[in-house]
Amino acid sequence: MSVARTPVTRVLAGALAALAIAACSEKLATPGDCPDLCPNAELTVFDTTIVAVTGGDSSFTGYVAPGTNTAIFVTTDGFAPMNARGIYEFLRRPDSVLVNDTLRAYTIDSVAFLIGVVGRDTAVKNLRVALYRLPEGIDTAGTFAELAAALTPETFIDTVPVPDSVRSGTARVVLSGEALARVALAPADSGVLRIGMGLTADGPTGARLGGLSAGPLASFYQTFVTSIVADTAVRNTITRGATTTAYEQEAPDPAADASRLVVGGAPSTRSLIRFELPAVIRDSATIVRARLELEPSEPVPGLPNDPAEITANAIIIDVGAKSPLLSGLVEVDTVLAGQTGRIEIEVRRIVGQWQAGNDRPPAIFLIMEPEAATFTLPLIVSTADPARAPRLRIAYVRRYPFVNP
Amino acid sequence: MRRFLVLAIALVWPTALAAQASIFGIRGPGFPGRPLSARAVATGGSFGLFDGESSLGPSSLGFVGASTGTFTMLGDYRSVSTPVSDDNLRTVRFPQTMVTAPFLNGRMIVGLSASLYTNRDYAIVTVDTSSIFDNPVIELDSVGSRGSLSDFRFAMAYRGLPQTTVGLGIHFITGVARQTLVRRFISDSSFAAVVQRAEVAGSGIGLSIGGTRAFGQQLWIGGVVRKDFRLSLDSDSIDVGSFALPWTFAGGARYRIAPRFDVATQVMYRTWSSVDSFLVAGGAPGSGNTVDLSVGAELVQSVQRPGNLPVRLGLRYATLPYLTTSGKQPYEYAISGGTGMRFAKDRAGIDVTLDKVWRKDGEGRSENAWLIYVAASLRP
Repeated sequence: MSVARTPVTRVLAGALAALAIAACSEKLATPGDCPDLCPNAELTVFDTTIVAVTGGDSSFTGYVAPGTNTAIFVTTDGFAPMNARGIYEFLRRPDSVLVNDTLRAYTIDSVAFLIGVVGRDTAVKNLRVALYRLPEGIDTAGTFAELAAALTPETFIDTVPVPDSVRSGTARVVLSGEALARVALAPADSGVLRIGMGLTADGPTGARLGGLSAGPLASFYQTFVTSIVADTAVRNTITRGATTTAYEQEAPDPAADASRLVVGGAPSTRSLIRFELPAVIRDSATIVRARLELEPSEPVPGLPNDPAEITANAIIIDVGAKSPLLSGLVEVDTVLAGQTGRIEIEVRRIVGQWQAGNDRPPAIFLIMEPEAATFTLPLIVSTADPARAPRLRIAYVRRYPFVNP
Repeated sequence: MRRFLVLAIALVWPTALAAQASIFGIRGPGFPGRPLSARAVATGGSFGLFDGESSLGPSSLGFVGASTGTFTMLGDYRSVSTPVSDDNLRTVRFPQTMVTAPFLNGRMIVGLSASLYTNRDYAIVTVDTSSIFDNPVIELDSVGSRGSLSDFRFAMAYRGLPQTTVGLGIHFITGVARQTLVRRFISDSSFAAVVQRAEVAGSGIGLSIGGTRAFGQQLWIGGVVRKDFRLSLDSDSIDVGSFALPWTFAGGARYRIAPRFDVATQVMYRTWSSVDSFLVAGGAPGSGNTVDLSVGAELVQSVQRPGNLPVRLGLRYATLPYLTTSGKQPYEYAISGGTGMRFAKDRAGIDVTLDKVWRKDGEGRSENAWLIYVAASLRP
């Protein structure tokens, strides 16, 4: 009897198991037939604008020194945003080279300058970097006028052509023969070569040349030398990078005042803008979008076709100019030279940091990137003009009333 | 008794309960469940007051012959049709678990059950367009809920009276609906998705009293009155109010036409309008009282082993509690059938029921469901 029952039992047990397995495959979602067959509650998106706290915005200068970041500025005459000449001082070149464990004198065969071009306006053709030997007494402590006066035909070394197709890269020129006399080092130079730089092109323009932190776009020069060892000519290359990268500009950067904020320049200027977040947003809202809107007070000065980024940074505590930035929380917008339209930066994550639970100060630090290494210098209407003051546009939703039937 | 406790802990305590969701239960506390065994469902519910494995009325415990543990699974395969779209949905749930045990020489029976009170399983998707930041943005909303209110009942029945069984049950109604809302702005990635969640918990108690009387060997009459008191709600542990739960009045008759053939009918009335004010205050159309009518029959193969391969059939009509926007009350009707078998010297058994349900609201929305109940029972 039990033999006859066993298969049935197994079949039924199998049916149970099959139903249990089917439990893993549910489908509940269906298009809602609203309002009849939907929960009565709705999720409304609120769209609000919050103007920055009047007088709570400030610009602070002195964060990054000129020439210490990725680029220095060199321009032609007549370039509107600025008129600048550059300076490179290279690492001391030794007067002997090591051959077969012995320091030996050498003769110079040729010298090559490799100039890093970090950024340029490719619309202006025939760009050339003019190199000049800087005389004693002209250095980074001088003025634009002193530097410009030193860049004469007598001190001219050569020009480094920058191919029209190159937006960024390394341009090179090689000196040999009689031209080597232009870069010959005298005992008074102590092996240190210092050059000044100007720019020529088909029109007024500027270029950003490799600065101290330019990485692969750093500028350097190479000396190709030959030493005679036992009737054998041994060739070597001495490479020396720039240890000082600087520039002098004819006029200082525009300064902030009561009516405008400044972001950029060198030494770099940052702007701190403070807001007051309404309690309804701070306490329980879900922010779906937040946009910082900034009105340029005039067309943004800068190098055409060489965009830069304005960054909005959250801060950990608000102590004014030295407010520490909240790392990893940076929002970015691209700013173009000549831009007159509003600058808009998506800052939802930053505003989220102001809400209950995080409680970061409701303020945004504006920084241009690369800092102290871009021509782009937005001048932004401050809170002195309430109609065009910095403002946040926030879209948010409140807590969904889940209990509402 | 020890085996009874083991059964109780094993079967009742960990059980997560839910059952057939319905588009007509999205609003309100959820779609009402049916505290019936697979056997009773197969008869349209008409045997509910005379079935020891159902928890509709406490006096039905008088039909329990031996300590029994029952576990029911339900597969729900639905086709939904609305003016918006048609869709096919499926869920699998565990709607009824029960443990019973006679004592005092069989004069008293105690029963511990967990059954579905209301179901709040649903997920709906809607698309809309709104203007944000002066631009049209397409919003895709997904609102869902998973959970239910369960009815944990402790009941006792006394069958020491002549031809009469009386019973009393206390009900603990509790459960959590884990609700989510997700909004995606599908036309503009600048907008972050909104994800909100809440756990809405409800708790309340109820009492039921019922009786069954036999008239000779052929006719049984039974009834139950049940009052469920207010259900307190909290959302994420914050008190968010309460509403009144319905009265339930049910009565039925079972008649033995032949030794192997029984028929039964049942009427149940529930005052779901008690929830009306709560729904209306929340902006919903409201609710109305419901009527549940059923008739059914059971033909057994053997009087000695009635649970082995019987044939059960039933018909049912019921109104549903939650009104449409225009004030109409949806309804459902069903035809059901099932059987079962006993094995292991009748210590174990399986009952299978197929329930075909049609639900409509008279405004173009309908739902056709195949509900497959499989119940396993043990008599240690």
